[in-house]
Amino acid sequence: MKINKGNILLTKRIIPCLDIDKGRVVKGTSFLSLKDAGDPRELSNFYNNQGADELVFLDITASSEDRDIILDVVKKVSSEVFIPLTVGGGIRNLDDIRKLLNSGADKVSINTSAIENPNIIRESSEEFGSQCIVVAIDAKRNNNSWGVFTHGGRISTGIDAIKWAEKVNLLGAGELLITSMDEDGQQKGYDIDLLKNIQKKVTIPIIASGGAGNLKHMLEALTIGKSDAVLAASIFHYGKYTIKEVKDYLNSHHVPIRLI
Amino acid sequence: MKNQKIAVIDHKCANLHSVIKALDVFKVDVKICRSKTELQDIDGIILPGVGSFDPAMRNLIEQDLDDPIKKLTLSGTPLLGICLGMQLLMENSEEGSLNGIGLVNGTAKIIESTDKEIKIPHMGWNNIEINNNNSRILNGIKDNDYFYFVHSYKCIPTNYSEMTAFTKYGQDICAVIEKNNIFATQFHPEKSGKIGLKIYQNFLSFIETGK
Repeated sequence: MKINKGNILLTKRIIPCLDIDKGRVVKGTSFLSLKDAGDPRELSNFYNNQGADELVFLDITASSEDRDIILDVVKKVSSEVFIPLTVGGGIRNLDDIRKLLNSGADKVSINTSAIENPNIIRESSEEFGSQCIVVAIDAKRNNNSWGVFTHGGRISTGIDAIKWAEKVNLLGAGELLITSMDEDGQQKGYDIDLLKNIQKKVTIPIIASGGAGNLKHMLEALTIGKSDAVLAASIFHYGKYTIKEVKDYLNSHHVPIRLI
Repeated sequence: MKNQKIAVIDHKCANLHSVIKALDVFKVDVKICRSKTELQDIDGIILPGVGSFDPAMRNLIEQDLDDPIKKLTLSGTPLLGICLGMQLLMENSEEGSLNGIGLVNGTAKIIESTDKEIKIPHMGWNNIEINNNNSRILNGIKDNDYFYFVHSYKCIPTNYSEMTAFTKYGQDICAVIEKNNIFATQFHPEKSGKIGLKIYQNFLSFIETGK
């Protein structure tokens, strides 16, 4: 094992994201080694064993009556996978947050409800601690600025993404999950300008999301974009790279990484 | 390690679920303790903690748990403090005005940083350096192994030899304290993967064998 000598900083985190609908992983995966790639438990264990630093679950369950299924998923996964779990999607209030944390989530990611009621950031960070409140920002480029979108990128809020990032930082968010709506799913690289611009204005960690297509993209988001973590879905789910391949690559480029 | 009865202190400021699930891996009997009367017939105590010093300490006092934890520990019951649970073992903390349990001499102070890259809280995976090669709680754990940290305050034990391991984050930060039957980690072993579970295993094995 290589040791990051003189490492006085935290390691950069590599985070697979699982979209969950009614308790099942969607955006299907194609791992031959898995019996059931739609099972969040099996996939979580798989990524944990590969060295994932954290897992993000995005609950995309549409109907409210099926909402509590995610709690059961979190309970089961957190009983087997002992790394930090972040859960986002459909969180409306402090009670939703409390239920998730009591089920074994370490952090929650809020997006639309933070836009609708920014006070939820202050209230939840005071109640549960900043470290467990992640604010997700979906940003779309408009010439030299970025606008915030909600509802999976369908609705424009007219809010400037950089200013919003500054504001949620002050309100008590512990971390930002920045998704470029332009790059998401394109596999052409993260929006480095967006990351850089937000990084300059905030004091909290940033997770880069949207656009990972190859190893260099991740390196750039962490070095030029100065992100603290990179999140990706497709490149992991479709087996283009393992977590270990990503980490070995980053380590060989002198990025501090937790190697296991 | 079957039949061991482990008290997990519930002072309402802790990630109980994850701690209990980590203990479940070793099939011990977990007893969630919210009052003095529940803190009986136990083989070891775990004091977890997430949040701020004073609210957690105030709850411990209101639940009449602070003195019983101290007495049991001083009479030999093994204790493991985790994260805020470690800081609560100190005499006091800059974060609050209440006294801590005082099982470890020293204080907790805010992590100061003037470097933009040293963000507070210290949140993420960091590696440790081990001061004490005979550590019981770090049995099987090596220098530079990684653990998951989330905190803004750091413990400063008066007796340096009680600091079994530290981590570097712009400065040295106490990561593990070990003193007789008292153990504590600033990181979350229940969130540090397989290597983290080793901490629980070592604690349970200390309870069983006394070493």
